[in-house]
Amino acid sequence: MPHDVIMPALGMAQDTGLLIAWRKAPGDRVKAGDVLFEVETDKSTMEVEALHDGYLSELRAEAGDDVPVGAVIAILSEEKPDAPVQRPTAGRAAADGDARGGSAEESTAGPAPEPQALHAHGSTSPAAGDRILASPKARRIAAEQGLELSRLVAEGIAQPYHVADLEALRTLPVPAAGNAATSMYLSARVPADGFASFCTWLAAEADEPVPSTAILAALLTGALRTGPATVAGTLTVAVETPAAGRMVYSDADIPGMTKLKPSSGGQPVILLRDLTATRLDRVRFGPEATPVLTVTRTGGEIAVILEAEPGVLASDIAIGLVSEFAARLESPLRQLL
Amino acid sequence: MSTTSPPEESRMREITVSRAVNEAIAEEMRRDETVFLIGEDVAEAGTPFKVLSGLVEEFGTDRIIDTPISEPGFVGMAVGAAMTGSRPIVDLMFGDFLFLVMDQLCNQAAKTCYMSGGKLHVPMVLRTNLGATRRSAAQHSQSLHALVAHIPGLKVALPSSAYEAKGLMKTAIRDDNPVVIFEDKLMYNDKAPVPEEEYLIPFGQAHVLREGRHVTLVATSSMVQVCRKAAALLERDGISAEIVDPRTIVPLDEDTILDSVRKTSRAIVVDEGHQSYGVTAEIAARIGEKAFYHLDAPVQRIGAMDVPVPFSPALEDLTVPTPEAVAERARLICRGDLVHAA
Repeated sequence: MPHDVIMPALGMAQDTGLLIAWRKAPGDRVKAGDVLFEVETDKSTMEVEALHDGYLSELRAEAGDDVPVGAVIAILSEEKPDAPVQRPTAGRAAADGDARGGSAEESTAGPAPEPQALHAHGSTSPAAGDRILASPKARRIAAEQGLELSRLVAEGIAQPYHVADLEALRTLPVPAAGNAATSMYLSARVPADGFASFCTWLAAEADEPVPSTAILAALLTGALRTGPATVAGTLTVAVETPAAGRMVYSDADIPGMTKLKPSSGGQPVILLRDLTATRLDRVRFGPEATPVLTVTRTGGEIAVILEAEPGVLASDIAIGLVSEFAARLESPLRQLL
Repeated sequence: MSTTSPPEESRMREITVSRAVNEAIAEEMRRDETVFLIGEDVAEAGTPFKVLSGLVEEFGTDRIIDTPISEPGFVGMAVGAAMTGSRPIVDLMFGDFLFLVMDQLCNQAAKTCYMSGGKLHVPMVLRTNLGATRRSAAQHSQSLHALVAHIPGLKVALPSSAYEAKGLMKTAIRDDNPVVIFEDKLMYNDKAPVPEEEYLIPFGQAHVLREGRHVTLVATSSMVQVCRKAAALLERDGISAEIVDPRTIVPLDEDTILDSVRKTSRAIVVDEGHQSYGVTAEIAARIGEKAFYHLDAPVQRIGAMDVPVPFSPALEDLTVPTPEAVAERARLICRGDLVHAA
């Protein structure tokens, strides 16, 4: 059965003992009579022996702790523990925050007093292990707003940082997910009336209403297929609108638009984000895994923006694609040629 | 009856600190016949500062009592009188003489209620002064309120104007526990609006006499006036200073001070005691403990220089906090320039 190791009373008037050092490590095999730890009393440092055989499996006090006499400071277990536990007592953790410098770096820190939770946020993560000097209020606001103080260091702004310096931090460019300098961004603008009148004509011609997503998918697939690099095989595109979500179309240019239905599977090679029903007029999302064509409508014009990760689309293909798609938006009847 | 600042509808008149103290004592002595006053030169002379003139004529020498030069003796008498049913006001001519009476004040008066299990009370007021720049040299210019604030069982009041002087004195006399009141000896002729009606100022209630956004100035006694001037200087630089007068340092109104610091993020504590181991240290420490995450600058302390007060006027004036010194410190911390740790 496991045995408690307690802080012994080594003197008459003594009610705490200062734990100087453990002489055995967690997990060690201990025999009765082995020196387990050293305690300093008013008078001297004394070695305390283990009273039982066992494995030292749970340390509840660390060197430097002032432990009340009778408190359990470790457990001797019968079997070797897999993961010997080292944790301080709750009372000690509260009183001893200053001894640890209140930092969150020490992994054996016990129940952290509430202020430490703020320091665990990323804003205090310094460059190259150096501490960043900043006022408590600046740190707190940076943590609350997700600002990285290390970026001020990188910009060469002198420490210590105050709340006013956070303004500088907010004006720094937001680091893009991809490399904004080399990702692909093309845009085109066409009058909207061609597409509008085509949709009206199609609605009159068709038995059921044809969703604009289907029309756009057809136009896009057509543009892809007749682009500079003619693509053989199934062409799958996805069209996404805020209202209807994402729909995937395979070979949308082959059947008539009125008969076009979304397909269930297939990996789209390109995503068309249809924001024409919204009031958005200019967007920049940054490149995503698949090339994205975003279509917006402002007044009498439709804007088309292509964004892609560098290297995914060759530039001539991208140019051809946007030009062709824009041309088809301007005069959808081209599709029927 | 108790007010933070005079209510607008009361009739106000401008009176000096000296007159305000005189009125407070006279009113309380009329109200309660167990109140009496004892000290050196308090009767016919009305004290060297002339604050108590007229009292002996109204109340007689049985209640306004002149003593020989015997501070430990008459303070001890007052403690005994207080324990046995009287309410003495003890007049200590200079705050520096506290050292003579510490045993009677700190070992007897402060502890009697506690050590008697509440059976005995010491409803005594020790009225004394502080403040330098009077050219009275080292042994008659000290501001020793930190010494008595440190002793559990004593309350400490620091009036900063005639309004505070009257209201705090009346509260002190009615308090059943020992209270030490320090008046700044150079303020006795300063006037302020004081209501005609009776009023008391409760202990433990600070007063925000000027609102501001950029820095909190916590100031005691005459340092309140120093900070008013500093705030005017800072206004020209676009720095808006808030001034908080604790009025009593024991009990201390922490909440008002902390609320102010949370608003401004910066604090300077100004007190005429010496810079080290004094009132500024206690208030600054509490601000650091309890408003830490709201601070955008280290808490500053401005006290008197850690030297015996010089007799030379030119030197004496260098040792005390001034409006320029306070304003300069405020500018430094508002710019983020003052850096001690690296």
